[in-house]
Amino acid sequence: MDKYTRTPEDESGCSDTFLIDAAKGGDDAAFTQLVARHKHQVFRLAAYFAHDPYELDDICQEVFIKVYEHLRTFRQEAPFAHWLSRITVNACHDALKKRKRNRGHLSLEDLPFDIADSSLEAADLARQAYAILMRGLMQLNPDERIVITLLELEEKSVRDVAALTGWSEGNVRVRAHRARQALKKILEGHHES
Amino acid sequence: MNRNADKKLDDLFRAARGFLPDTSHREDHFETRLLVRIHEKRSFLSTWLTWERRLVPAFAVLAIVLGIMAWITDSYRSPDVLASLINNREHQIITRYLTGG
Repeated sequence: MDKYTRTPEDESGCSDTFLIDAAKGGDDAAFTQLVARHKHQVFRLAAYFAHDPYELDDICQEVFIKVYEHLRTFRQEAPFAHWLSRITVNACHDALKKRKRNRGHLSLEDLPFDIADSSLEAADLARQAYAILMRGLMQLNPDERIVITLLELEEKSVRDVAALTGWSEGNVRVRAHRARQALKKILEGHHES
Repeated sequence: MNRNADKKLDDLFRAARGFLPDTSHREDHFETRLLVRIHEKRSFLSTWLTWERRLVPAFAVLAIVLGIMAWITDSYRSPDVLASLINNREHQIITRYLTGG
C-alpha cells in the first residue's frame, strides 16, 4: 500500500469489507462511501495519463463503473486497493490506446491538475521537469508509457507493475528498457532544439 | 555519452516526482456524477429488458398462429386428390367424363 492509500477504516469504523458486502447487496450509500474513500488513489494515478480534466473525469468514472459492475466477482483475497489499482491501470491503458499518439506541444495549462507544493522555486523546478517529461511520455506507445510511469513516477517494483498490468516481469523489463531508450532520444532531440 | 543521457533521465524523473498532482478540485462531487451515470445505465438496461419481456409473448402468439395456419393450409390439400393422383383416379375421372362412360 503506498502513501496515498488511506487505511481501510475511516472514523466511523466501517471497513472496506463491510462496505463491499453492503454494496454487493445493492446498498448505493455503501458504494458511495467506498468511492469517496478510494477516489483519490484513482485520480492521482489517472492524472499521469489523462490529456485534459474531462478525460481524467471520464477515466475515473469508467474505473468505478467497472468496480460497480464487477464487485460481485471480487473475492477479497487481496486488499480492495490492489484490485482498484489494477482496474485503474487497465482503464488508463485503454484510454491511451484509444487516443492517437500526440506529438504536439503540451502546455502547462492543459495539465488536468494543479500544483500542490507551496514552495514556489521547488514547485517551478518540479513543474518544468514534469512538463518536459510529459512531452516525452506522450510520444511513447501506450505499453511503454504505462510501464515507465509506474516504475519511475509511481516508484513501483517490476513485480508490482507486472501484477497491475497482467504482463510478465520479463515483458515489463523489456518495455521499460525500450521506453527509456525512446525517452532519451526524444529528450536529446528536445535539448538540441 | 549513454551514461550521461541515463543520468539526465534519472535526474529528470527525480525532479518530476516532486511535482504533486492536486486533483482535489476534480474530485469534488465526483460521487454524484458517478451515481447519475450508473443510474442512467441501469435505467437503460431495465427499459431494454422490459421491452424484451413484452415482446416475447407477442412473438410466441405469432409463432402459434403461423403454426395453426400452416396446419390448416396442409389440411386443405385434399387427401382424395392426392390419392387419386397416386392411384391414377384423376385420369380415370377425366376419361370417364370425356367419353361419357
